[in-house]
Amino acid sequence: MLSEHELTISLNEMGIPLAGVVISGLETDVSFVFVRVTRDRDNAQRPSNLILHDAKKKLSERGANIEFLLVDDDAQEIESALRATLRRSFDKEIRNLFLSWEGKKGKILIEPKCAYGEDVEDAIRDKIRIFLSQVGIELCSIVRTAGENLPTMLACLSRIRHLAPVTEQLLKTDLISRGFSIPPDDWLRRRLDSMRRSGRIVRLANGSYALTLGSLRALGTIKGRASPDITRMLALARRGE
Amino acid sequence: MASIFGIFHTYKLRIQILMELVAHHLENEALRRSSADGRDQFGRSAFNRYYYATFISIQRALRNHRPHWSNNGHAKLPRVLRDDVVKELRANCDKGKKVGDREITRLCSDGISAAKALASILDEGYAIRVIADYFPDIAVDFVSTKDFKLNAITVTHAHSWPSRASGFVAILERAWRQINA
Repeated sequence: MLSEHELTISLNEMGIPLAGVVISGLETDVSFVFVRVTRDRDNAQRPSNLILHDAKKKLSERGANIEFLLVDDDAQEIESALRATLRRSFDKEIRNLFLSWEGKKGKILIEPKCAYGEDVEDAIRDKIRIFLSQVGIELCSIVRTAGENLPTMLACLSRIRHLAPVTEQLLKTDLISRGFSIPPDDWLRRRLDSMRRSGRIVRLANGSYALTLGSLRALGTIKGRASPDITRMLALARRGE
Repeated sequence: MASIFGIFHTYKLRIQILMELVAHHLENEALRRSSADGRDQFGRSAFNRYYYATFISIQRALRNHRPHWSNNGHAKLPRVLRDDVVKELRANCDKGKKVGDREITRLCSDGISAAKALASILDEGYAIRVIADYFPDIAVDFVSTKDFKLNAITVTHAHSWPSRASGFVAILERAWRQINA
């Protein structure tokens, strides 16, 4: 096990710029190393993640378990400027915004104040893209922390497996009770139709739905109390079948 | 049972919000005071509280999803996020690929990034909290009238830990809702 002092010397020899002192945890054997990172002209991080990964490996061979913590003043500055710009234009829609980036690709996390439509979303995306391009970052993705709550196909299949044979109406009630939102009109019917056409589910003569063997296999099972086979048996027993 | 859990849940949420308030109060107090007036103590305590507010919100989310994942101390939580959380999301990502569900694949991969980001925030917060409480020799550096630093981390940055964490937690919870269906 290396001391903090020995770690500092080794990291200096490797040319890794430290920010502050190396700290060892109390109830853990991990030593935390704050590293000052900068960006070169192509926006690549210096020292690169590859260099840091190698350093971590070399030090672990000498018995030190280290975790690098990057201090990236440039990234923080860009993030707060972007946040201020977006909040100024979309005060009603955006509560907070975070930026993370690797290489030239930036990922944005938006905490919305309310649900907003596609036109606002497009306007927000344009604004972010223009801002980031000025600092040489390419917009990779925007993720909203709220608002997107439709059941995925996997979620629908899991619920159909549990409840089969199940009618569209019953499935809808069940999904809503589990916190999903279902758009009005025939959204769920169209989703069921497309799953039926792609061979994921079958429609029985009485209009209810069940999984195909292929889907059952794809979903798989697990052992233990949370096994879908057991919850399915319990659901059947509760129905008195 | 459900109601006891409900009360506990609300209690924890309240604690988290209060702790953030306390942290902010300490931050302002440190900026207001002079060095002879103990601003160092107020400053380091602000970092400590910002870390705990963050830790509690992440622990609460893990407890709601898989109670046994939250039974670990401060040192283990980042490991749970990097190992157990990522493993479960990856398994569901594969399942999604098998049934041709691109949506769940995307939600799980967003979740994986979020879990890793949360682990980094916790590591950073934990290290700073250890410095704040156990290394009084490392002084708080008052860099301007609006900001101060402890071991290269500014309080402005620490201030962002809880809201950053709740953003990433929301991403995780969105993926978990699909998985738990």
